[in-house]
Amino acid sequence: MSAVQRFSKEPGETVVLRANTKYSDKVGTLFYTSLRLVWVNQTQHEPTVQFRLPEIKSQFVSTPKSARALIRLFVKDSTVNSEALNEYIFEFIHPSKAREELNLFRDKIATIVEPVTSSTSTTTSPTSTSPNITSSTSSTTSTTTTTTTSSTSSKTTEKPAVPQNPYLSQLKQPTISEQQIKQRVTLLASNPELKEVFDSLVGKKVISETDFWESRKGLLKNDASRSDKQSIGMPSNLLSDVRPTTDSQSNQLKYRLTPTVIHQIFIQYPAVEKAYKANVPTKISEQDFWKKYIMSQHFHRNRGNQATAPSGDDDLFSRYDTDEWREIKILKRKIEDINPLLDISATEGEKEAGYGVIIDQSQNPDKLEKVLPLLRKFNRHSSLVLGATDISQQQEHQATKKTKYDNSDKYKLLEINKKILGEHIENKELENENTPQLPTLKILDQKRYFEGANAGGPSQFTMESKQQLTEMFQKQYSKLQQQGCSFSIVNQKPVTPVLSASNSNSSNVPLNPILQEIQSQSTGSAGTKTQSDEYNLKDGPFKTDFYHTFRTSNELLRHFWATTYTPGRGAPPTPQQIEKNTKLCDAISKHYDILENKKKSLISSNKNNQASLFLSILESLNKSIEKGNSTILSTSSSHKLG
Amino acid sequence: MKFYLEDLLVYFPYTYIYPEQYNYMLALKRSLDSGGPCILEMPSGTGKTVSLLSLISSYQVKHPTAKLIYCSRTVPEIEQATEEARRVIQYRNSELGDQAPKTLVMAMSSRRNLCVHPRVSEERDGKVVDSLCRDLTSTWVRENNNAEKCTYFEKFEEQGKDILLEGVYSLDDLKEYGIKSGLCPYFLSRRILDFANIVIFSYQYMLDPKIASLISGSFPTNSIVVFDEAHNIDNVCINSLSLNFDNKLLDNSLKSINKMKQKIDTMKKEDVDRLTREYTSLVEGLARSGVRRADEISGDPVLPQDVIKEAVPGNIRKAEHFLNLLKRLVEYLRNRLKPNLVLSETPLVFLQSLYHSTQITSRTLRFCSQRLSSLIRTLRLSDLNQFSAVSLIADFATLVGTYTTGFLIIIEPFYQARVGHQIEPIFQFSCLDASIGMKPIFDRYRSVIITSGTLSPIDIYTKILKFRPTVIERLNMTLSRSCICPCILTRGSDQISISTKFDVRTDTAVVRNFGSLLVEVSSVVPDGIICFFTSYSYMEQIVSVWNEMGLLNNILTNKLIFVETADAAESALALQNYKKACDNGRGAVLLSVARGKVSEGIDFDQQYGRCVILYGIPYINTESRVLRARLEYLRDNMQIRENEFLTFDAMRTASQCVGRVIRGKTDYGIMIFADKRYNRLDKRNKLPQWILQFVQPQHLNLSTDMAINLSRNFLREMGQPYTRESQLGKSLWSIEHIEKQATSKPPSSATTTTTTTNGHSLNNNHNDTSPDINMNDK
Repeated sequence: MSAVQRFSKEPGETVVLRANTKYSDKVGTLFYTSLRLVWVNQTQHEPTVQFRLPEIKSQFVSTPKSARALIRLFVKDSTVNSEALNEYIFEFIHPSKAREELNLFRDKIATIVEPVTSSTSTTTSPTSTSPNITSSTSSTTSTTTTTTTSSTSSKTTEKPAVPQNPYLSQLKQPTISEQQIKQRVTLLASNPELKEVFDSLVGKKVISETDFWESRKGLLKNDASRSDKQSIGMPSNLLSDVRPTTDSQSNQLKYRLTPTVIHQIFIQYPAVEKAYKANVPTKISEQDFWKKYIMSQHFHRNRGNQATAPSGDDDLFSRYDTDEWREIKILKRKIEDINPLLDISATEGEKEAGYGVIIDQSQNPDKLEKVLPLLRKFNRHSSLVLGATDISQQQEHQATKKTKYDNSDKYKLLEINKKILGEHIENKELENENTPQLPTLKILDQKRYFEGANAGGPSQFTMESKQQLTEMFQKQYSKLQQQGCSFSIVNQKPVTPVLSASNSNSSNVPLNPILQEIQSQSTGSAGTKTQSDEYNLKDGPFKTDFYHTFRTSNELLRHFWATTYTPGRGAPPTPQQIEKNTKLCDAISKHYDILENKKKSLISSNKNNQASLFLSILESLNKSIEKGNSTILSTSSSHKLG
Repeated sequence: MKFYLEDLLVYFPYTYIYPEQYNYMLALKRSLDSGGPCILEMPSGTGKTVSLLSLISSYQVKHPTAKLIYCSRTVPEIEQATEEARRVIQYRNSELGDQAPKTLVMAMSSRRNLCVHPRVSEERDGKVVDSLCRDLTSTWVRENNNAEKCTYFEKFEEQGKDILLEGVYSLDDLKEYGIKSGLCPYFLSRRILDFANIVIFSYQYMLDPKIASLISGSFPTNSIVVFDEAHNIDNVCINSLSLNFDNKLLDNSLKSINKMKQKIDTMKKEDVDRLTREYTSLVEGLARSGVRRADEISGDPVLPQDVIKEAVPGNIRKAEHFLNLLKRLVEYLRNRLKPNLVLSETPLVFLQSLYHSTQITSRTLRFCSQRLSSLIRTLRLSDLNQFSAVSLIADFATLVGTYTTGFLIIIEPFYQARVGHQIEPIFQFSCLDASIGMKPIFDRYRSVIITSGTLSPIDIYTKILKFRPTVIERLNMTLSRSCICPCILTRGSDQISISTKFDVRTDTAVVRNFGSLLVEVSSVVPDGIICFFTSYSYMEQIVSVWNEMGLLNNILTNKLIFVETADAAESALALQNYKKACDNGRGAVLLSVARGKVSEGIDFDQQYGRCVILYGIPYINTESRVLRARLEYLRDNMQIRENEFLTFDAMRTASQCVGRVIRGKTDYGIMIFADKRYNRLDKRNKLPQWILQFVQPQHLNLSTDMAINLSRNFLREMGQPYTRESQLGKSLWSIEHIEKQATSKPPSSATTTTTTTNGHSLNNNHNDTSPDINMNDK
């Protein structure tokens, strides 16, 4: 490995990229070859730094905004047999193209950082790395890969008979870009079910990562075409309206105030927030404060049941309470930025008080006065959820008068108004061209949206459970996002055309097509039953476990049947396909055994109904095992014949 | 496209047309030809305004002197109509090219909506804006060099006289022009009003004599007057001739009288001349003459033909004498306004007893209004807001002195929230006969067009407005699919019948059923739902009970809730947020009141209104004495039975409410009439024909669950793609369909008709316009 003239190349090594860089304040050239990364000092002709590509564990690049174009590499120390990582920082110093060069290097390295190698032997790299999902925070501009454990599954690993040109193999093997990786990561993060399946199959090396994603092309495509994801706002429910739960035994009322609820209370009732800030914890404890709050009239007055409200002293809150919410007219000034189609206040100036007849006293809006705070509460809450301007903001806005409208603002408002009006009056139905501009649907959790509605209306979900679901989902979602999960992703040999054709379109809603597949493969499967049962099963460890099993089985079956060759149909299988098929068959029989055990243990604990849920899955697994065995027999026999 | 309608070439700014639009224009055209009033009902959302403006603007090409006076109810509607006019005129003029007549289309509104003065325009109360404006613009203020002036008005005074605008000016355009040119848009609009070919403003400018005498008094008699959304026109007429006051107002007017007295005293010391000058001009009978626009106060509260054109009688020519008389009148009124008293009497009886106790004659009373405005000007009072109370009393004096029949005085207790929740007596001077206000319009103008989406039954309108229309037309809705799903809901899911009848409306079962209806509907209907309650007080009751039941929180899991409140600005914001919620997919429920501000003039097209629920029949409270008096009057003088009128009034309000959801033919919506009384034929039949055509037997007598099922199926059906091809020829016409109509054959004078392969363009000669206009439709 000693270097000569520039630097000596190993057999078959070619230089892919080169760039002028600085390394520990010395100027030199960085080479990216098909095998190694090499840095040569300007004054010398042998590499100062060099390491093999697979040794690079992660890379970081400076943000595009930063003045210097830096790349930082973490490289496994090949000399010491440990997990210790060496850090190298190179600065790209080309006067104009430094950033470009950096990006080229970054992209190249990215393809190896996501380990190039794996079980099925197309690369020359001797060790195979398995994908491993670990959650570590990554900065936005860099990709991280972490600990790779060299893995097992030796029986499937074969050394290629003919040594291949590594560069060629790289071409053959579609490298995935950083963007794709990001997309996969976010997709997994946003779809817990998918992640579960991914973890249990790809993580355990049953299915290769490429295959996994190859069968989900449609999902990836759909996901990519969605320009921006649905952002989840506040729940519509009125959380601040805490209702007690009664404890019949101890005759107590229990109120549950979570931080979210408290936050909402503060937003809805500014007086409470003021009181809280002034009194807690200097004057009274937090616990006492909320006790007082719940016993106060303030708490009860907007709930309409004045009769039940305790008549305790209310000084704590009423002091901070401005009674303006009871006033009919709150706004003193004109609202400027309002949709001209909706500005009903513009008309009120036309009619003078005192003129006209009062026909019906019940039509008098003044009658609303008693419930005004209640009505305003809803208007306020709803605009809060929407993040829209509500009356109190307008009021503040007018009170402070910070922003005076000058003429340019007025022009702008007039322009907007005109546009709104013009669009509104235009009758598109009578136009020659009428392509209605429909808003694009951005739904993250499609399953809940589409299948939830089919499952039978509101009675199925009680209010609490709906809320619980939403909360659960949000918690999960935000947790995953915080962790910013990133994975190393194995790139794998091109997938069989059969697989991509049969599955690329169907993977969007994972559950249903799978069910169909099973139904078509195994006669008389109880697939539909399982689906409708989804909403009847009680939440619990059994349900989660069952669903997980169900999904894993489906994934396995999907891949199995995609690689299975039926004589007389399609192209005969390649050795890789056969090998994969065998491997899957193996995994399926293992899975079958696990399920069988689960079923038996359920029956032994007298849970026959639950056990019966496994029947259909087992049946379809069995079918595939049978098929697998026969295929092995036939292929081996055909080999013998050949 | 453009096409012939009998002998008139009509410019219509779209490629396609609804058949009802064509028929509407035809009826309108015939009515313009024959002159006289006409009444046209056309389903809401089928492009009434654009048809009307297209036809009349095309008619104006032929008859250039005919001015169009287009009246609508609300400012948003005025703005929309102006935009429609912009489109129509743009298309017409682009087709006419050089031959296009110079046209000025303008909207008009109060100072509140036109002012651009940085400080004054911020005010939301129209009266405050008026009086602040007067503070800056009255002649006597401007004489003082140190006083603050409005630069926009000053510039208008300098240059405004020569400005003649052309084009289309909406309220916003006027404002923009005002800011850019530095000219006051309000006074500019007042000036150019007389030159405009199309004027768009609110009813008050035609029907309220106080304003009409200043604004529209000089319009030519061959003008075409259009009252759009005219289903409530009788109430507008009545309101513009009625007034009411209570003790507080009487107190205020006494205060202002005293203030004016002090003013007179100081003026006697400083500037006696001005008082004597006023006296002499009054002797000459010039109480209102020679007033500059900036100084004018509202005009006489009585109709033009009833204004006395004589010199003010001697006993009130002197300012102090007049104030003494007013004071005596106010004191007399205070004596009459006793708590816990219910009384109704005719103006004649009132005048008699007034004469007995104060010696004031009806003749003297008639002059009060003019005399007061003369005095206010002489005393140079610009803060008219302060003197609004005494002006009201003077107006009352003039009205009561002028009209003896068709009016009634009613004194009754009235709940006052503002004054410590007390029951205070209120004095109402009420007009009972809507035709009094309409008569001068019908008499004066050649064509008066009354049109709306809901004018059924038409014969009631002709009776209460006392006119004989030359053309009556009720148009159906042509549709290739049923886009309206009316549900007559008579009972809840528990089979308990629902109604807002007075004796059952507060029953828990009814309120609960109403609530669960909304919860269920909110779970099946996408996007926007609008609920109308019969009155504010009923909404108050219901909402607080629903809140106690926790029903509102159930609704919140499906949709957000917005409520119309008593404050218009607040409601406008709620509306804006409601639409936002519909746009972003959360969906929303709007709780609102029939006869409230939202029920008039706000469109809930497409996703903004997929369902409207009408809780109960919006009857007027029959306990109301004013209403009773009106009913008796209608029965005795117009042969309209009380129940007939009440049902008519309730059903027109109902159809207005539900009609808000259909704005076009691709639009669709569910209309839930939640009251068992709607199931009765006499009620149902009062709905407009275009709603009735969808009321099939399966839509009648439903319970909540049945209605939900019906809605579900309806929504599924409506969710299917709807193409133009399926509508063409049936509910949508292209130029070919029009040319097949017997009434659209080009006139015989046309020499050639060449049709190209497109079948769209033809060359044509026409008598009125220059030869060889290229008639390509777009």
